[in-house]
Amino acid sequence: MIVLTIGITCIVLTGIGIYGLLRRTHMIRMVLCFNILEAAALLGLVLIAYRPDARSPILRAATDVHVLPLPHALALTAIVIGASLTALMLTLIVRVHRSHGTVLVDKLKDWRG
Amino acid sequence: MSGITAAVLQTVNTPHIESGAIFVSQAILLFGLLALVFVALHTRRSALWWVGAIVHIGAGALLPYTADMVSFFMIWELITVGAAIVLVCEPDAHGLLRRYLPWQLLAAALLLSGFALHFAESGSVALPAAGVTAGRILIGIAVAIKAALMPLHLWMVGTYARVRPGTAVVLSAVATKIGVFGVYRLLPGSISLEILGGIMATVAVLYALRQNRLRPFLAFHIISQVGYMIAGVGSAAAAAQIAGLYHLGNHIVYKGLLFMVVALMVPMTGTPNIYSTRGMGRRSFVLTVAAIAGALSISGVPPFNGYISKSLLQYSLVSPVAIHLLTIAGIGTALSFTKFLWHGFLRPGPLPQAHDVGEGLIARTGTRTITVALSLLCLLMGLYPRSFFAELPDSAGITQQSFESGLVWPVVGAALFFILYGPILRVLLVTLPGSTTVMNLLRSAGTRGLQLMQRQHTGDIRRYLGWAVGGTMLLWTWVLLAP
Amino acid sequence: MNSLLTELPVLLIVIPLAGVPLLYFTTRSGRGTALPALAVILVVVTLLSFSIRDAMHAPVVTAAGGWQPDLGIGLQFDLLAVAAMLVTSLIVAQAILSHDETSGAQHFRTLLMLLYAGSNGLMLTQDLFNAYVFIEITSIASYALVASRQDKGGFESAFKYVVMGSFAGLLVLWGIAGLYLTTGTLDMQSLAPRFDAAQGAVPALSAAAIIAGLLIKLGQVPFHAWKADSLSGASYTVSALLSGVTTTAFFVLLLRVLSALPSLTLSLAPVLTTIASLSIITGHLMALRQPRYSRLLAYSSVAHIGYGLLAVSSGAVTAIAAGLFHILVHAIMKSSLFFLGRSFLHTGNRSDRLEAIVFPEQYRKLHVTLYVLLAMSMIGIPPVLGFTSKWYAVLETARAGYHTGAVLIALGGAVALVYYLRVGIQLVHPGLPELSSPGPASRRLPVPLAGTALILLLAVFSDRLLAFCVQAVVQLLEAV
Repeated sequence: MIVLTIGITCIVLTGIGIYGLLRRTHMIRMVLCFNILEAAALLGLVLIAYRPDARSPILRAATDVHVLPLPHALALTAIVIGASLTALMLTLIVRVHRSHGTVLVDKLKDWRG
Repeated sequence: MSGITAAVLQTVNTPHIESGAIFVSQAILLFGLLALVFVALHTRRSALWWVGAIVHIGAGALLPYTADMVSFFMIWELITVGAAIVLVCEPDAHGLLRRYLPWQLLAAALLLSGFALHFAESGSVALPAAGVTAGRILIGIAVAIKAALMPLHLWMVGTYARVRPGTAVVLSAVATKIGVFGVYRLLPGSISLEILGGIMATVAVLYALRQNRLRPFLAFHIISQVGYMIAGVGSAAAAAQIAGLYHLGNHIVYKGLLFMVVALMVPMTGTPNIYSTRGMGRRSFVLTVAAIAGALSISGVPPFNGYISKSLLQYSLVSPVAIHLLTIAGIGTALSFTKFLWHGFLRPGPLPQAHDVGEGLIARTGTRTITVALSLLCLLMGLYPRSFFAELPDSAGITQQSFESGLVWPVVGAALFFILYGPILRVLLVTLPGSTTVMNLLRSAGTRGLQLMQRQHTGDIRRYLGWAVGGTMLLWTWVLLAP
Repeated sequence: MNSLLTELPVLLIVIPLAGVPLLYFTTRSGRGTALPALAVILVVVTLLSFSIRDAMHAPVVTAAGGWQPDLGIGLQFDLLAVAAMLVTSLIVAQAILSHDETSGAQHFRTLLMLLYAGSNGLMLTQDLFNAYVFIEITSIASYALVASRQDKGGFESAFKYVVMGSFAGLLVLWGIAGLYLTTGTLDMQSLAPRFDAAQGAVPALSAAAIIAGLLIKLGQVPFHAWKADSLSGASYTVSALLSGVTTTAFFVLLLRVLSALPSLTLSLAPVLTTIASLSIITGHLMALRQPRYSRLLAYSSVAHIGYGLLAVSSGAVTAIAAGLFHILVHAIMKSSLFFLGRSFLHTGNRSDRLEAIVFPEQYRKLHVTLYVLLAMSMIGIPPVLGFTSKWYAVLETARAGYHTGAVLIALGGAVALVYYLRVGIQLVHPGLPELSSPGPASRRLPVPLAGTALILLLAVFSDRLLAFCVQAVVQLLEAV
């Protein structure tokens, strides 16, 4: 049941993220969409690691059932990367706002053709 | 493996030595050197120009000996590079390069594609002796561009008519001949090539008849003569191939002679218009003799060299259609050159104002000596053909009977000029489509297509993201549907 | 020596990575010297050249931290990595020399070193998730580099680049998650059997997502459109890095992924060929009417990477080798063309519109000669290296059965001539009068001398270079 719920959430979040990326013109919203997409991916990673009635992967007794540790490590790394990307994008948005006077992505059309 | 260095070394060790290749190479080399001497006597050129010209002619003379695709292609490109260097030194270099290089590179690209297909089939980079087995059409178009077959001739008319006269002499020595050699070396003989050559010879003569400027007029006659050569070397019959090759050798000589005559004539009469040049006959005896020798050779009048190769072609071609087409082309050529001689040299009437003969004519005696030498060569190649090209059959030569029969068609052509030239010209002007109209149509369509493509790239990153999402979806669909 | 050899792949990543903070602190005052950065590259190249012989023998595989692959991360030092890293090191070194201190770009060398470390990692790693990390390191460094000109155009380019790049990164991440879910491994060498054994559509979809992400990074149709926009606002030096270093690294990674999944590669071959053909057509045609130098070169890159992808997707060993060879040669010549663009700025001219570009008075003939040689190489006119690589690409693609593709590659050169001729005519006879204020570094020799000299000299050895690439591809395919 929980697998199904998280799986559906993951797919719904991905859909929302992609829709937002393609439809919204505000740059901050695009960053938010990226964050949503990333959250969906992280959820997916956690879901991969999930095992019913398992404990966190810290070795206490040999008989314990653990969730998979590797996807958690991946998720942690992905979170770090996602945070730095978000910071970079926000910095760029500030700079674009200063130079172009807009935060709407469809106004960025100096380069085209 | 398709190793480049290995293949080139292979060619260097065992070059393609065969009588046809030797003949073509020597013809290009000999005439190329003469052309260089002519230019040296005629005008001053920059050092870079000489480098380009020597590369152009040297590569042209080297090409027939190549035995593998790599060397063939590299030297083929080297010819273009040499010509490009020459053109850079001309006034209006940009316009010339724009006209010349894209066509040449297109030819090279098609040649490369054809080689690739042949390589894919044979698995070897060696050039087969009997022509390629695959990629014939691509190679055919490539050599057709190089040989300036219509409608792929625009580069030649556009270039030869715009360069300085001496440069035209040098350029005319190599490019088209290499195209013909390409047909001889790369394509297996067939009837369709004979007929194609015949059609080219005829159509180009019709276009030449329409011209009123000297150098486009000569350029179209080059195309027409190239048609003869293609009919010959493209034939499956060995005798026709030899006749075609001999025609190539003859052509190099008389065409160069005619270009030199024109190069010397234009500054003297001050006009490139055929109908306004006159009185050359009374002004320069040597040039008149040279012009007549050149005109008789190209029209195939015995005992000049053009007659030998043209009559051999008539006997040895397989397709009767091609033979008839070549006869018509011969009449047209005679008509056209009668026009040239009549207006420029023979027509009576008042002499126009004498023009400044200066214009870079450094040593008139020197250049004239060369024209006389070439005229003599035209005659000798007609009288003693077998001492120039040993492969020619014993029957090649002038006899009483052949002399008379050879005169028939040229005389018909000359007579047509005096009787019917006006109506013929009027018909031609109305019926033949101008070659530039088609080009312009294609160009505007191309530009519009490119603009449409460019307008799709609006600079909106969301649109680009959409393409990326769509592309990913396509990949996924394929993965799901693929077995 | 032996222990050093086993740690070599790690060193190749760690040494540049250690250079990052070093450079950061030494250049804090804004001005610094190029020597530390050059020293790092020198060390890397020395390590590389000492270990080529060992890599020839067999790939050097290192398990980072002693954890064996499948659990830990494997790094593989093979001929493919050697060839690609030699090329990228050359380009990075040229970029350091080409960098202009006064351009206002802070910490240029620091970011450059980060890019270098990331791309080295990309080419060495054998673990998919590790590859993702290196993708992002390389990309983040290059996003910042694109913005480093600190002007309107630079920010627009950087933002567009970030958006597309992040999307590509997400695709790769999804793909990796899906592959791990279904196969339980991220190690490329042990992926193939488990991938083939896995049930359902998820593994194939995931692998396709990774490939799509890499195609975005490489700029292939229909994932190509960001490329010209991102290079338009970047400085010439950065553009040279993007089209030389990152492209090569991503191409190597794509090769590794494709060779790790032979069954998928086989079924995707028609799509990849179509994508490559479309890229060749679109790239060359779009370049025809570009009004700016860098955009024109960017679209030409789209086409040239298409050559490589086409050859690779045909699947034959010699064709893959020819594709790899062309990509490496293209990296050298395209980056050299961009470095040449640096010289336009020495005339005091800031625009890269084609009607405004002009070489400085000093060394003008040398510049024009370099341009002509490089353009000949891009078009594929003998006797330069670009010709030989194109020749191999055409012939081997045709032999692998892709006749249309071979014809497209061959015809591409004829189209390319038209736009390179347009630029060349402008450079020889500038339409605008030269601007009066010469730039700061007008007395320096043009940087791409090195790249152009290589293009000219190495042409003689192209047989051996191709043989080297063939050996690299054989090693790559045997490892799986």
